[in-house]
Amino acid sequence: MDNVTVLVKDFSITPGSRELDEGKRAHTGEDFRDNFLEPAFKNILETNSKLTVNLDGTIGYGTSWLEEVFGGLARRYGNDIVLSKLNFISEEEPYLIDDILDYIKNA
Amino acid sequence: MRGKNLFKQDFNPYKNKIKKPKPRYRTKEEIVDDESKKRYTIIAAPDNFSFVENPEETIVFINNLEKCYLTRERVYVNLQNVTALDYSAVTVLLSVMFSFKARNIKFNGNFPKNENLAQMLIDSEFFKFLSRQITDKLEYTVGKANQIFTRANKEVNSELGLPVMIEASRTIWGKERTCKGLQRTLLELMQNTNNHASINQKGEKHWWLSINHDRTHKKVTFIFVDYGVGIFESLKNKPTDNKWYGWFEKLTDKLFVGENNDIFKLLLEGEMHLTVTGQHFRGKGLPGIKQVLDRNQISNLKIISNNVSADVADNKYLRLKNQFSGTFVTWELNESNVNAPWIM
Repeated sequence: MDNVTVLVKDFSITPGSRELDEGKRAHTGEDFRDNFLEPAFKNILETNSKLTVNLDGTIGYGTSWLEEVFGGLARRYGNDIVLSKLNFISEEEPYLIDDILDYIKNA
Repeated sequence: MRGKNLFKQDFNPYKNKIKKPKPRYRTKEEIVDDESKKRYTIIAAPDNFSFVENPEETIVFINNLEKCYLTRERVYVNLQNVTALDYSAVTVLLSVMFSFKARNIKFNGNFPKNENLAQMLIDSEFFKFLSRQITDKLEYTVGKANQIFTRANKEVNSELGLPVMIEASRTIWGKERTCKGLQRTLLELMQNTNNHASINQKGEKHWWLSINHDRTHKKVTFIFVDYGVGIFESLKNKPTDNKWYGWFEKLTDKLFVGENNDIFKLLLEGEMHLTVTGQHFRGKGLPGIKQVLDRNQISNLKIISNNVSADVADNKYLRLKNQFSGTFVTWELNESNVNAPWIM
């Protein structure tokens, strides 16, 4: 199976806060993780493929969104598995990748 | 007898004003106005009405209004002697007026004598909404998107960042630019109010965002305020299973800390997070906004909460004599700030 790429901008160009109950127009991390990232993650989990998350093309990120998505995935599947299966592209905000790796490690 | 409600005049009161000699006795209007005031608790705004420049007196003013709000007393705000007024004060007036009216408590007052200051209030649409019935809603929108624009909500609305960014970048650079630090700042603040402004539950308190466009100087000023418990009161009330529970003891065990202003500096710089949780803060929450400032994505960041006033950009953290129950944040976006081509 080929490597798979998920583009956050396909979910929303205005990713917002952490949890669904925080607003009807909050474009939450919980929503992205459960409905975009995790289904794609499950598909590659038992394969040799990797999942690349492309963070470019949005108007910016809140930290809670990033923590809920990637820290949240690590809490479900384990830090090491998530670290080994995910790659990141963030040309517009390269510093986000270090933050995300930290969220995963400390989930 | 019902008084003449000056705030209900949705027009410039100084237009076509003709100077007349002062009569010996009170005019009919003055008598009506005086009678009207008798039914109200009169609260005078500070002469220098600015949260940024004069936080102590502005907090006293807000606290006096809050007392009336809690006891459902009618309020008459005396603005006549205001000699200086800025958008931080306009935002306070707007948010307080909406809060009173949403609870069906009468709110009235007069215009500043200074015509420019009166015009500033008129431009904010403060008077327009004073004459309207306001119900307790999730969201309020006041003003025009590319002038003085105020939005209130209890929820996080990440979509708001899009039109705000478009309008702000048009004012500053004459075209749409992506300002990712602006969106992060808005998100962290909205989430902060939604999650922490009330001790009891999420989404109980409104946040107020006012945006003011200065085309001459190519800058946009943002004012964000909530009347929640404030940063320190929120931290004090963490449940036992929260990573911040017992933060003060953990902090004083390892570091010499003084008053709240010293602690606030540690909090914004991420030191507090590291000491209390043992983890790097990674931009979370308020330190994330300081990081945005450090990256030059925004300018002139100032924060007031509880008894601390922080001019973060100038690294000045002061302890206030008066306690503000809530969080006030202001920052600026200007030509010098980091920006990128429009994403769409």
